[in-house]
Amino acid sequence: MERRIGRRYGGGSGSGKGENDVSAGKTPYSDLPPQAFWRTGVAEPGIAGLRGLWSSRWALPADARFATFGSCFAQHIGRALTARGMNWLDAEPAPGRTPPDIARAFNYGIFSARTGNIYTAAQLLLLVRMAADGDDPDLAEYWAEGARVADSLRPAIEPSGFASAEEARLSRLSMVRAFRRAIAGADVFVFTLGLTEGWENAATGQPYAMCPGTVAGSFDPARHRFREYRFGEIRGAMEQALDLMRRINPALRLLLTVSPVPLTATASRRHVLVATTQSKAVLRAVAGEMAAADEGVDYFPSYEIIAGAPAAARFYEANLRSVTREGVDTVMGHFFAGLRLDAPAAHADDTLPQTASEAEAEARMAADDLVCEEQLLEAYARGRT
Amino acid sequence: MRVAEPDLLILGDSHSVALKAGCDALGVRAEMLSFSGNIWHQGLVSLHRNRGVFVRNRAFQQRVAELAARLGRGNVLSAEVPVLASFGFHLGRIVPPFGFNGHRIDAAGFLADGSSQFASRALAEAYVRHFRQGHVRMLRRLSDVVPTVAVAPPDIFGAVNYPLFVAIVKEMIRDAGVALFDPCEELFPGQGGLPAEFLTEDGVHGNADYGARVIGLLLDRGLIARRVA
Repeated sequence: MERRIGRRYGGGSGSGKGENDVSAGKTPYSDLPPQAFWRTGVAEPGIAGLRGLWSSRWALPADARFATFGSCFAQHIGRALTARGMNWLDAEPAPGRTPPDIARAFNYGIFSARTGNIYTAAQLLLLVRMAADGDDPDLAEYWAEGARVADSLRPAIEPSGFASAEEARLSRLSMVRAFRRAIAGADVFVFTLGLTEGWENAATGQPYAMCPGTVAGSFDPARHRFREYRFGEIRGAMEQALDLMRRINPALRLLLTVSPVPLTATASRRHVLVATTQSKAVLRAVAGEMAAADEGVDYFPSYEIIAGAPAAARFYEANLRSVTREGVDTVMGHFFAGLRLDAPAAHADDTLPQTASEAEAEARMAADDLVCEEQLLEAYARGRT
Repeated sequence: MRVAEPDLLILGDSHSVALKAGCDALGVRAEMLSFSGNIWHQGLVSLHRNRGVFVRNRAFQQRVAELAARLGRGNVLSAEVPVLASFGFHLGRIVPPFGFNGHRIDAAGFLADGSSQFASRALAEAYVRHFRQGHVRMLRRLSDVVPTVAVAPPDIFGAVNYPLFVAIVKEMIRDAGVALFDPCEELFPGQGGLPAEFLTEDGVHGNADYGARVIGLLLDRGLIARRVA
């Protein structure tokens, strides 16, 4: 039976027109390429031989700028872009010459601004509202942690929290400024959708990055409410966020991915495997629907590559959750294979003021060294006379 | 030519020059062993069991050798000769780079400049400790074997982030148990830095009058002393 259906629908064997044709004539499947058929597109090539999974719908400038945000898997995209020498937008870099381990501990260079993980569409919308001057950044909560203070939007952004609420406030404002710069300066805003489950303040509706009490803060069942965001809410939030971002940057393109990382835990009362499937299915559907409805939105299938049947879980660590280096490399291989950077460069004339000021500062430091050494030499010369 | 045992040794960077001039003016017999801030910043200077001080740079090590020859002993350090240390800060090598991407630690400056970034005190501390913990460790080891007073540089930069960086290094030195003397805190409290009349022409170092004021106060406090003939 299966063989007969294969013949009727074509099967993409590529062995000649006659084999796929039936006497009644062609079907819509007759001329489809091999990747349109599971056997020739997936089963036969295997995970290593998958081709044509994604082709960018946009011809991007050769020096296209990418901003990357979202759940933890998004950080791999920024890192891979940087490793390739491409234009990954770092709108909130660490101070000059910060040692890499310190930069990482303070969450610099992870995303295009120090937003921390943005797991839900509700979180993204809140941050975009702040960046677009709609919401006061101070309205979101700060949490006292003994003598330290945590930012409810980014509870783990500093390794030991902030010294004061004022410091947390200034740091958040700095992040919001940078987030806006990332939106304004990017050609492509890459966003990895992470979760459908989240927590919010029951009175204000403020979404949290993490359930209060897990990483920081303390849980209060009277104030903190579990949310399982539905398809319509997520799509609505994503579309509102995109609309606001386009007010900042009308040419902005949105490239969506879905994190292949399963839920660590679910508060939905379902089995975590079932909850994960529900979550990923909804996010994948939102991404697909948005891409279908808006030419400025595209979907890149990192989820399918890692979590799909062809990989047979080989791209997960033993915990069946963390993605392996090989998995990330495979994802990024498909990403770069499908990227179209064939439009003329768009940023060649852009100046990078920080580079100029850095060069000036270097020159000043060199001059200061010279002054210092000359003064010492004079002193030594006086000592000899 | 061999010299008599000095009252003290000044070991540090270009800020040593004012201290040496102050010693000369007040009749304190001081020897000076100094290298530019960049040499210190690069970690090229270390303590040495036999020579006292070792510089991983032949030209600068020559200064150590010349001092040893003048003192008539192989080791430039002696438990009998206190050290005035003007090393460990070298802020000209870490304050400007910290600001390369517009980072500010002060709220007012950050809020006034929309292109700036805010940096937490914890980040500034981690940054300063990374670059200066080796110097502070050297100060502590030095003070274990030789009476040592660390002398903070004069507050003259007025640069963004400078005050906190100075404060962090001072805290590190004090936490290490090394005696610290802060001239501006002692001589010009509340004046926001070194008065212009105590600056050299380059605008970044204290002059001989400043050095004399510092050495005078150190003598008054009994932190250094002239050797009794």
